[in-house]
Amino acid sequence: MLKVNHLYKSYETGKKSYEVLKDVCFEVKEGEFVAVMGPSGSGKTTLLNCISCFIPYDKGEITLSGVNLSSLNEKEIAKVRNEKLGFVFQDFMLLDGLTILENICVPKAIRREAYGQMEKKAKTLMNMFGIGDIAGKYPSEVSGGQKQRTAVARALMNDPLLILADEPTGNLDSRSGEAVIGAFLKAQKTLNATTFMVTHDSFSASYCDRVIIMRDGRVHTELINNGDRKAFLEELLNVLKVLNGGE
Amino acid sequence: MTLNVLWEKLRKRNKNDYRQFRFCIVFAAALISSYLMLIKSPLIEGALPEGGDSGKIVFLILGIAVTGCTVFVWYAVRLFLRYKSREIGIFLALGAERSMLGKALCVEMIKMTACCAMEGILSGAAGSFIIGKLLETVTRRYQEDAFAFTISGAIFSLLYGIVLVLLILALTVKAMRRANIMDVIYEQRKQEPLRKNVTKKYAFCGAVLVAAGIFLGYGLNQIAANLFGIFLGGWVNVFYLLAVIGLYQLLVYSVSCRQKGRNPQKYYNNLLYYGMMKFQGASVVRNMLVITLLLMGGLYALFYMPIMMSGSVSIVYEDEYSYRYLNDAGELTRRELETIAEETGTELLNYREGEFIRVTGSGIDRDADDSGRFIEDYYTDYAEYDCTSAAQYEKMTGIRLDIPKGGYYLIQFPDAKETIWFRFDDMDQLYAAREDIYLPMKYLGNTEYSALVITPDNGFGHGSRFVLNDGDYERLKDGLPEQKLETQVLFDTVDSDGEILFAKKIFKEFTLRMSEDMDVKEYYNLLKEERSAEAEKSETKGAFVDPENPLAERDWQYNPLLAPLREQQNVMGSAVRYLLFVYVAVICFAAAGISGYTRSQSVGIANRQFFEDMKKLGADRAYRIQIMKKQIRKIYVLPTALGVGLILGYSILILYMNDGVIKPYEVTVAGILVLLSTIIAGLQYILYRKSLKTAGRMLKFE
Repeated sequence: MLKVNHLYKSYETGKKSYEVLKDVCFEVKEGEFVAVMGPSGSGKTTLLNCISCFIPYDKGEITLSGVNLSSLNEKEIAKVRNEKLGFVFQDFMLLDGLTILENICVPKAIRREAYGQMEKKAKTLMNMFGIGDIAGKYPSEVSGGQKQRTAVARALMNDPLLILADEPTGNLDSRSGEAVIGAFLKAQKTLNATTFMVTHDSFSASYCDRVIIMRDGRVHTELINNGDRKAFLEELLNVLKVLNGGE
Repeated sequence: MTLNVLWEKLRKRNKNDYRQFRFCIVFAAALISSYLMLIKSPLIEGALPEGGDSGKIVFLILGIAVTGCTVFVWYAVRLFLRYKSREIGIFLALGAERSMLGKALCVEMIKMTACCAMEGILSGAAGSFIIGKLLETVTRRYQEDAFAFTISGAIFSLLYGIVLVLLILALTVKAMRRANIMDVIYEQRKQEPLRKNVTKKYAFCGAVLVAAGIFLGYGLNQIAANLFGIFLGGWVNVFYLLAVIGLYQLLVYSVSCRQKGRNPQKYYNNLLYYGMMKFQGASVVRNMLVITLLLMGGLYALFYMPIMMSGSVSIVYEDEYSYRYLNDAGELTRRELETIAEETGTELLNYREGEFIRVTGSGIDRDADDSGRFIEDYYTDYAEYDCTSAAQYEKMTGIRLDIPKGGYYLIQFPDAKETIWFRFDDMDQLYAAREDIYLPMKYLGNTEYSALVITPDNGFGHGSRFVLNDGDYERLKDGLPEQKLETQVLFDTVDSDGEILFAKKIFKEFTLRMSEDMDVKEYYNLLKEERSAEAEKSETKGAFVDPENPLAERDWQYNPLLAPLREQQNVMGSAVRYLLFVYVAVICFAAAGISGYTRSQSVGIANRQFFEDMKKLGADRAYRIQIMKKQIRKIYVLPTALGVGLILGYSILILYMNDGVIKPYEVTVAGILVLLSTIIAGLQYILYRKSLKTAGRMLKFE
């Protein structure tokens, strides 16, 4: 599904160049729920932005279903973003002037799809994530958890190959965060959605099938969830403790 | 549900952002089109002399107005695009094609701008109609033309509307071309740190630069000429740039100065505020500088009226009509004048005629060479001067002068001052043609009679008119041909409605009947022409005057003083100029206001997260409001104080430097300037309160 091969990315600040990603390689399979964790500055968000085609990268290759993303022109990238990728941002990125239902419809509206199908799909997703009763409300009138579930529904509108989530629970309390992770799991189970999530939250990551740990711009290690969530959380916390300088 | 439908819904929901944007375009289009329609109307076109300085000023002001309006539209568009950038970024991130999105945005902006520009042009037309009719009523006595809309006024207004559409389109396209979605999404949180680490020395340097800039820009020419005899020229205005740099330094200091110093408590109390400024300082300083300069520009334009009024009260002419002609010209006789007066329903009063002679005399030519060095050349045959006798002078003016042989008085305005170009006593000998000798002459003083100072250079240089001893006068007159004898006519008329028509008829006849020697431009000097090399001869022969149009700009050495026409010119010229300067002032203040207001909103946009974090850290509402107030106060208080203070000081300096003293009426003028400054400062305060309210609403303090 998603392959990242020998990816390099650096930022220029004045005359200095900082290498943020160094030879990053990994793969995400269809229907997998993968998290990326690591200390601040380890390159998680930069990696996500490269996969999203939001920022260019220096060297390497990112392929989505066999398509090399760096070979695409602007129009093709837009098409990939709209049809193959779904996005969930930390601060929701909903349009304040549109209702919850309308926000969810945006990816299909961009494709100029017939409104009947569009609304039907949106309502299905809203019911799936428990936000059907707030369809006519505006983002400013609903809670953070509801906003993020709206963003998840929006990300799934075009049945994307991959959902890219940047700290989706970062701005939420634990209960709302759990509801959002629940939404990702439901999407995985019901729609076979593939999710690639950047997070700081070990609890959220413990629901994933696999966690990629990054450090200093490289993949430090990968942990696989064998089905026992609590044990996986324990394992995650231990690795992170070592990574952060603990014993 | 299409993208256009979503776009439309967003527009309906975000009315406030659109309202502000629309207001700015309508306002700019209304100001410019009303100005254009006014200056292109027969009322104003008829009042402005063709090819004259007033006309140039009108177009200079138009340039300033267009620049000012375009600048604040540019500000408003940028702020609007900042609001839109989040929407654009989200659409892009969700897979909307840039070209499709750009097209939709451009179409929306073009439609909106075109509608607003049309609204503005229509409002401008209504405005110009009201102002035009008002002006027409006020100047009815002096002006025959009425206000009317013209095709050229409408076309130019439409052209400005098109310019606005193109400007907005260009800014929109530029905004859409940004490659990085992350930048677009986070555009609203863009930060521009001010890296300068400044000390009190930096601020002191700034203050010195401001003082030096004003001092050198305004006074260096006079100082150099007086002390070293060097004329430096117009380039010294470059020194004003020093004042702008100094102003920038002062503003940078005010924003980025953060030292514990002697009051560490204050430092810690303001810690958060300092922190915020650190990362927005560059743009804040830029805005503060623009606001300061705009306020200065606006106040300078507003001050023009009282300062000009103070200048115009100083000249009072003793006679309504004063003109001179060479005796070989078949000019109007008293009988003919009386006939014209009768035809036009008026009557001559206090009619006098006097005799002058044109005599060659010495003088000093002062100029600056290519290197700027001041040069003085004495010539025995400098110019042909107008000379009269003490007896003739008394007959014309009633002023008796006791002049010994070899002495002379210079006829001048009251309070006339010597300049670096002219001295009172430049002439020291006159040529007696019959005897073929030069009579030595001695300057005795000035005699004041404004109605006789109708010659070039305000009665200085080759335009000097002298009163001589009767005996000397007769010696000099002996042997002069008729074309060297001059008649001076002075009279008044009774107040009547026919005065303007009478003056126009006289002007026409007087102009048509001029002799060959009178057909010269104001700066024609026969003797200077004779001593100049062939290649350097000026083209001052052939007067530039239209007998049919006394209001047209003219260049004529024998230009008559006809009070009703002069009054007509003055009233219309002043009314038009005042009106135009008010336009400039309004534009500058509007641009300063919009600039301050939009910056205040940027404070809200850029710091939303900061205030949210402060809340999480336990800062209560009052504390957060206080921080916000400090930020917004910075944008208003210092620029207003600096702008008002500097321009007020500069204007009072001009009043003083004009004649080296502050006269009683200039104290009144200074009082008016202070009052105007206070009103503008008050307006800035109202805007500050409004900005606080808007930013508070944005940050949810209400």
